Amino acid sequence: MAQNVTETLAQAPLPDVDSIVILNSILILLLAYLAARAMTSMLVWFSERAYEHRITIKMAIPLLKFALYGLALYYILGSILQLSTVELVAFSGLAGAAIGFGLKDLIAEIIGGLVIVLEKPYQVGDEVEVGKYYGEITDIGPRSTKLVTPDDNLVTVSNQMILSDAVANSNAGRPEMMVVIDLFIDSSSDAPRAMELLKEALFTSRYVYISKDRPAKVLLKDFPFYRRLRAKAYVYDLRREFDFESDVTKRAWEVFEKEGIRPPQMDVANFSLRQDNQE
Amino acid sequence: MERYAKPEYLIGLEEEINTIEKAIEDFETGKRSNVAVISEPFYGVERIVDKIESIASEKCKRMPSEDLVHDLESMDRLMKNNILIVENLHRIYRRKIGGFKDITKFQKYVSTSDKLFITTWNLPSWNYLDEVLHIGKQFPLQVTLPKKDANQIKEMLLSGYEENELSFVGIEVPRQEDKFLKVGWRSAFILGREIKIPNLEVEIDILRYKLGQKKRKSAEELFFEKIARISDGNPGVAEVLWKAVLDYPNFVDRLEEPHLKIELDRAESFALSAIISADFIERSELCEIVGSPDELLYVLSEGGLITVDGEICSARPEALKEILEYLNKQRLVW
Repeated sequence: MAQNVTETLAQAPLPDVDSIVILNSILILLLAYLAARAMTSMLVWFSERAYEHRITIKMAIPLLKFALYGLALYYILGSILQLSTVELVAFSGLAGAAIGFGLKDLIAEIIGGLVIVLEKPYQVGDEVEVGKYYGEITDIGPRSTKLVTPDDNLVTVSNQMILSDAVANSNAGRPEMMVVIDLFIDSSSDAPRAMELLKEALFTSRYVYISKDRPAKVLLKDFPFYRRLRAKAYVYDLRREFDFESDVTKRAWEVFEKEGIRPPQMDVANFSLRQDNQE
Repeated sequence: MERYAKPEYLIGLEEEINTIEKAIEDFETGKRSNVAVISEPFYGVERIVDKIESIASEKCKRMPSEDLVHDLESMDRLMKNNILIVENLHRIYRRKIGGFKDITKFQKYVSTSDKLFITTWNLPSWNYLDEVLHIGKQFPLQVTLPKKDANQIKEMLLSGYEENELSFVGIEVPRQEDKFLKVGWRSAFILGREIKIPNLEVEIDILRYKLGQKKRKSAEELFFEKIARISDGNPGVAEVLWKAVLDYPNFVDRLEEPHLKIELDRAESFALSAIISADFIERSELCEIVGSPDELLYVLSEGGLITVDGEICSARPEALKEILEYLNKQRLVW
């Protein structure tokens, strides 16, 4: 059986690859690339006008990209190179060998991209942490994923690396995202009042999103020299995470000052002295 | 002789009135269920409250929320009535730190009182307060006033007029020979240059006439459909539009659909939500919520979204539908 296949492959005429075929293939790939870019721009434009459905629309981008590139490849192999089924098998064998030797990483990245698109550990528009990078996913390509950090740096991470690494997704496809805001107050300050005021700062923020499933809460924890107030609430659009944090912090401290709620008084020198005396 | 007949707001609200009437009857037999009557801004809820007041008669006391909250304890001692109708409770809170003081005081008062409270709220404020303060717990019976359809709006607006007392002027009825597809041109800016691109417009109404899906309508019916569409079924807005076109004994179709293109930044959107949530707001109050409001008010006013009359800022009724849709998408009203 195996011998038959080898014989058939040997007898199969090699496709006539001349400069025209190569040029056509490049043209098709270029067209696919341009179509993918145009389609991405169009969907991004449209999604920005769809407000809360922004991320749902952006989800389609990587899928359509893969479909476009897949179609382009199929067209090149089927129409331009005019490969028969047997030749396709032969091509696969050759591709297997190429992967084995030189293109292993590239293929692993493409497969990784495909798995990301199908399994959806994150989508375009999500806020994720990959390795030491944190930011909004702007593109999932066949080879790599791009994210923009809060400092506006564009980070490109290979799809293979993302698959093998842990990925923390802050919003999982939703436009809103939980934001944790820590404020530290002096241990002698009125903590219940501070909690009340911080809660009001959350409720009245222009960036907050509150619903039955997305409640806001404030928690208190004691530390040796201070108390920590931890506010947990959802920002209406994950891209406004730091605006939300800043707005709540600023307004909360303005009212804390008016009500005599002070930041920690780190009397560390006296504390050390007391420790020494006790010893 | 100039004549303006007040519209009959209760048309189409029979079920809601019955629900409130039953709550009053139940209260008399010992079962208390506080009522929240919730409506869009400009709805004209005071006309519905007039009806409720007449049902509860001398057993009830009606008052604006500001008066009740001002001195809750002494007011409570003075009041002998067992049913309290408190209007516009959305006016006693502001979306700022310290802005919930009065509403939480009122919540506590309701929780400890044995009176029946019938209260009115505007929809954006109710939804917001229900999420952040859970006010629904104090008012388990929530009556949301529905939008009215074109027929109900027509009936409401014409209720005070005799048949054929008014004439309709300037309303075009689509004809069989009208084209349903129109080619126009619109401008687009590409690479900083203005170019004209063809724009196809489909006249849905004419198309539906041609396809026989829609029966031919009179000018009068078309006019009230237009009012219903612009007002989005809000009777208060419909009345504002009606007053604008009524030139007794004629009414002239000079209404234009707003088609507002709202593009605001977050601060402007927030200021707009503060105005819409309170029905109207004083400039000084807005200043406490958004900081310096002058530039924001200018943008909102120029955009045809609000009017500023002295110190008072309020939304333009005819823009209400588009404002609410926009703020909803911006997640500033729920």
